[in-house]
Amino acid sequence: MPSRMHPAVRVLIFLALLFAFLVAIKLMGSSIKSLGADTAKNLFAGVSNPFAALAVGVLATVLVQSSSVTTATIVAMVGSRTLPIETAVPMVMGANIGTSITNTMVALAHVRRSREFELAFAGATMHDFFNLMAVIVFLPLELLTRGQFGVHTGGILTESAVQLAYLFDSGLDLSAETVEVVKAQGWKSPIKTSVGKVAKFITSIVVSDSKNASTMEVVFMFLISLGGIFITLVGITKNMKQLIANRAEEALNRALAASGMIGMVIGMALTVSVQSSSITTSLLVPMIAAGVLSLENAFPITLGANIGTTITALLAAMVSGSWGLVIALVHLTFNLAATALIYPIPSVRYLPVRMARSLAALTIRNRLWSIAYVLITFVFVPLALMLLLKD
Amino acid sequence: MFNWFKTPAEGSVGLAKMTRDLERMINEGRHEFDSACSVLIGGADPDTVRSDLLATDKRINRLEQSIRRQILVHGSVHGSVHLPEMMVLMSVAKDAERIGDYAKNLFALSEYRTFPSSSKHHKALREVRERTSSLLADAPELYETQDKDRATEFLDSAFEVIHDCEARMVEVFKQEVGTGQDAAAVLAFRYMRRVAGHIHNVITAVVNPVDKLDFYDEPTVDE
Repeated sequence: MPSRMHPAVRVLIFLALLFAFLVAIKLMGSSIKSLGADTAKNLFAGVSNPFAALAVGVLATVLVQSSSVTTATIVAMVGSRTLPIETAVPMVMGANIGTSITNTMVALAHVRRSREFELAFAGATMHDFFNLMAVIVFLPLELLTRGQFGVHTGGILTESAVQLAYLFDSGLDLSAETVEVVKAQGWKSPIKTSVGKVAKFITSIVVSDSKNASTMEVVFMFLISLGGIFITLVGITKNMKQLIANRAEEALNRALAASGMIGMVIGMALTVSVQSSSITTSLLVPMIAAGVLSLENAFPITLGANIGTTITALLAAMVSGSWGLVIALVHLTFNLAATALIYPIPSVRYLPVRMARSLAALTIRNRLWSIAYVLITFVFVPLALMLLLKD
Repeated sequence: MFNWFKTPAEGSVGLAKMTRDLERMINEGRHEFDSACSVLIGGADPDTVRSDLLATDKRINRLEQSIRRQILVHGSVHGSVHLPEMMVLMSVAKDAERIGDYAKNLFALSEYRTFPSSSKHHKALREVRERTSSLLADAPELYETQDKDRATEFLDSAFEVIHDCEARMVEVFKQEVGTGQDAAAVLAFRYMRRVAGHIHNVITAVVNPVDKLDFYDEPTVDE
């Protein structure tokens, strides 16, 4: 149903939801910290294998149908030093792969009309292939370069993110004990202070003694924060989609004719606005299916959406620990680097599009291939990786 | 820069743009129709009109395709919120495009026969042309304002042009002996009748629901 809400009201709703989102992130960090350092570390000991962690990232995102929820949760966990950054990096990459299931599911709705389905499926899966290519290149690179950069144990992506984090905040402290973004003696943001106060108030309601919380209390607080992250992100997406609908329509009309950088900027701006790359990429599917938007013109919009979706993790990093900011920047660096590596070279640029076209041609011969592809890529392979490589 | 903030978020900026494009199509259609008639009835040199007329027709076709694309984008972004409006636009844009096609047919006809002032059909054709052109001139504003009373008057006027064209054709059919000029006149009346019919269809969208669009041989308003 169309809403008659004035944009000013929607902006206020957005700000309120954003505040609630940050509170949920803060709560999640606090709840895990309450478990105690040893217990918290043991939580993710089973997925220390990077490929198992990658699989967890894929499965978690497929399950909640939102990479924003997964990455925001990862930021909160890394920020609270529960999840080691080495494990979180492949998880974030997995979230990138997992998020592309949504537009593939949207494409399946065109299954009855061959030509439409072929285009829609290719339009959706080119996103998958790009993300898979990016992981194939950058995960081994990250693993091979681990420990090559002095004090930190991360690889090239982590180190780049650390350097970027220092650029954002020269007072950043990445010593193992520090969980605050800004040093205690420095200026503290009023947003962070008020988020902290609200989170503390909620914690005081749920937990009787914050120093000695019971497992049940911690689990309950964790579930509240996870639900909070999910609900606030869904709310932000729905609210912003209404607020920017007309702008999105204008931008997409422009994108039908434009390609390249303009498309990328449009994809990025749309995704930053609605906090969901799935919304942006799913909007493209019917236009691709109808043949009004070519795969080549849609591809840069998809890449822009990939970059734009990193905003959620960066927002979450506002109230997370120092390493939270680093993992959020790893997410950004990974997507920027993948785009910078694949897009500028003409012979490589449309490789994901060509692969997607080949797969779509196969699914036209037998529609079951499309179902098999979704199940194998997003469920069976990640599940097998996770179970086989679990420590 | 902040215009988006002044309008309600659900305001149909996209629909307004599509409506403007439809109005441009009708205006271009009128220009094409008048150009074709200026050769057919007014004695203008076809060579001076041809390139402009064909370019106008291409612009009309491109506008129709653009409206279709915009409908698709609008539907993708807003869902089914404006479904009836989108269906109406899809239908009336086709009618507006057909006006250009019939104007082109009138011009093609003028390659074989024209109707100078000495022709017995000249006066009737000129009269129908003026009334049809006037309908085309009034239609864009009427579509935009969605004034039902004026739309009903408009539809009655369009009906008169349609019936007049039919009567003129029947008149020629009843002749014992016909000439090539008579056959050309019948075609010209038929093409003008179709132009009046299509602009009538466009304006039925102001008074009729989606399912009654185009049914101009039935009452335009539910009784």
